[in-house]
Amino acid sequence: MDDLLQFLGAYQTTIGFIGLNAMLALSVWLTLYTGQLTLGNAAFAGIAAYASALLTLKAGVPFPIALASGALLAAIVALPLGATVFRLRGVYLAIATLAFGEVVRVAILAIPITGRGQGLVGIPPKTELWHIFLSLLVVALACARLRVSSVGRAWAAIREDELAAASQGIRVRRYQLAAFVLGALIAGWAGGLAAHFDFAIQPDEFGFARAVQILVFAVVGGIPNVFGPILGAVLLTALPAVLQPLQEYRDIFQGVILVLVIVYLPRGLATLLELRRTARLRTVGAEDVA
Amino acid sequence: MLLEVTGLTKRFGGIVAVNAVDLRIAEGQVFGLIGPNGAGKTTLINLVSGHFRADGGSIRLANADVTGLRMDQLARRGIARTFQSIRLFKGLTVMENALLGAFVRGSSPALARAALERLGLSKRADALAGELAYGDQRRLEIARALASQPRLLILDEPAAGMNPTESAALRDLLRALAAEGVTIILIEHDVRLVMGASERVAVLNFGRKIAEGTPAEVQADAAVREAYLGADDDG
Amino acid sequence: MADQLYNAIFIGSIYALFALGFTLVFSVLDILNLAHPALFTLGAFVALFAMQQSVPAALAVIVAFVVCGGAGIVLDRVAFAPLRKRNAPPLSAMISSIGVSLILVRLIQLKYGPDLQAYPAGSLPAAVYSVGGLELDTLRSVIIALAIGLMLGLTYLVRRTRLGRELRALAENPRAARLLGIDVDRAIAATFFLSAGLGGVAGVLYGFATNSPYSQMGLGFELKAFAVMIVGGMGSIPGAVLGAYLLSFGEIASLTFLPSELRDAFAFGLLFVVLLVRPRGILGQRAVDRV
Repeated sequence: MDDLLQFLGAYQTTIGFIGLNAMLALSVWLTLYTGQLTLGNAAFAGIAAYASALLTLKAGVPFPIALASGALLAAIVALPLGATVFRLRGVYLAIATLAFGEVVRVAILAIPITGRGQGLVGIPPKTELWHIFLSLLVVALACARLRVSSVGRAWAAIREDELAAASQGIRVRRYQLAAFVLGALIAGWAGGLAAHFDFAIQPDEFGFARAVQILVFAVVGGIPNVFGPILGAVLLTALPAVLQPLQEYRDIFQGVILVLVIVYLPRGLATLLELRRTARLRTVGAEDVA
Repeated sequence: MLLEVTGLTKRFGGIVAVNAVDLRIAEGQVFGLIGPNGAGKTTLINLVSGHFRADGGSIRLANADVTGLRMDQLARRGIARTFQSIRLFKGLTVMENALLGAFVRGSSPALARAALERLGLSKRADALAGELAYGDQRRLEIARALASQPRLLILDEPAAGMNPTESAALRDLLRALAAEGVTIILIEHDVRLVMGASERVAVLNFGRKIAEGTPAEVQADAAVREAYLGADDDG
Repeated sequence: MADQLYNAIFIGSIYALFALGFTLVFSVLDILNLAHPALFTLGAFVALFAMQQSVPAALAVIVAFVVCGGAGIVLDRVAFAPLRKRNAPPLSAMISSIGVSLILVRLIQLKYGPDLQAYPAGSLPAAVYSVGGLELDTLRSVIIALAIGLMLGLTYLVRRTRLGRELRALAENPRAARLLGIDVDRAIAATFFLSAGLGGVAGVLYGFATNSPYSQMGLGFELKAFAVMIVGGMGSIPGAVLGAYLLSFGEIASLTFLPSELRDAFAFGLLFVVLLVRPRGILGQRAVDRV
């Protein structure tokens, strides 16, 4: 037992980040589930991270309120961004969220109170592991429930065929926006937790590279169900930590695995657990979509 | 009148696909829409179902002006349709497709099941929509449309790929639905089906309505014969 | 003032060359190739490598064009073609291209490190000449001329050659194109060769002008390219050129009232304003979904 606790203690940071990454992967999963690509969730996490950190650091706001405020801020920012873009064709979301991510990064670097390039330091380390994993549990359960509800079905329909979905009475834009904003909320919550987990935050942590990383977790793990993103996050966070000497090649590894998955196993690794269904979807020509 | 279309026009670049078409369709009527390929039939129903926005004219549904409304808005007002090229959610199951059909009715499982039952697809509820045989896919599309208990059901070539037994069953279904008060617009090349199921028929050619009347009247119409003469219809 | 104009023309030309690559692939294949910025970077570094082997600068540009063009074809074979074969949605292609981008950039970074590099001393023209009262540098003048030449060449190719007709047919209607007997695979390969080649050349030229190629140089440009494409109209080649110069001139103008850190903000601001007000851009097709 002592050995176990010692082991856990040494790896505490990694375990914490596995949980945070899983939440971020789920946040991206929501939008991917509706068939759209967003590269903005790292920025949403960043907005919430800075907002909540500044609240606890400079204004002494209690931790839970700061967390909630950060997440809410991310969601509020996501709303007009999404509303602008979801009336357009899919490719515009990818571009707009990428651009948005850069805007946030530039903004952080420009606004003095964020500590600019140096980042924020001395953030009260309020986040415990159980905060992270309880949040993850709640988020995962919520996403799972949504997926099998009529909302999730509407999302799946939108992903398959937007036009046919609209024909059934589904307000496509509204549903896409809902997934996007909910994703921003979750990413924001994770961002707030992250800020208080590691004492300090820097703008680079929430930039394009991070957005891509989260995307890789979700895609590699798999989109069809909630396990996918979690699995992807666990695997791709734990593996590099274990394979320390290969750190340098992490990006290459992620890139290769991303291409391999998209080309050969588009439903992600999690679907290795349901090969028969995947085979059926393949014959039907819906393996990318469903 | 359930549906009143007045002077409806749609242009694509220089081509006038639908040219000032008028239609009056009464509630509970089965209304056939025929014409050579490219006559504008699908474009017309795309306008009625909200897929396209008209360039001119108006559409009234149950006395309310619905011109320019989106597809989902019209679906909520009771318009449901099938597509010429079958737009099922292939990766979702038959049951899920039906549930989505019932979306405007709260995704009621009861309605979904009833619709599947009616089209003889209950046994295949768990099959992926894309796994079904072609004829079954057509029937699933109809079931999906029915699951919303629509006021106006638009069917775009529902019998394509069906054998005579299946199309006879479809004809009976259409008659039964009409008796229940569902209004149906039917685009079909299967002459027997259209003439057998419809109360009234309109004929389009080059975007214009060239004839309208009972099936017998339309079949006897000289202009209609001329429009079809030489046209290599895939019947 | 004139110097600023000159700069705007220069930077606009690079933007245009770079954006044209994106636009070509998007207009013909309807996918956003997010590995394009990596090809931009690759160009700069292929030239660097060549010049470190004492290849003269002019030749290095050609080498970069060919190598990047080839890389583009490989990229398609590996990351896009299999997806096309099974009719995967554009989303999959975008994700796939992100993967390739990760690999490519990291490989460059492993060989050269993340810091700014420099082309071998003396390999680039440093001459300056006077026009009217202005002092202009040969290097950027040549770059501008080359860039404009390439743009004209591309326009000629698209408008007047058989390949161009095939590409336009593909862009309009892939199925019809196939039925018309067009060798679709060859046309697509040509598209990627041109797109990546142009992107690579843009990278070399930018690298030359700044004399500081670095592994992340693609990212900053990527966003400018998006602004260019959205302003000019996604999928429109003349739109890309128009958008490029509008952006570069706008950026230079905005420097009169924006601090230089926020220079990039002009591009973003423009991008979002256009998305809000006229998403199809100046010359683009319908962008709003009827759904």
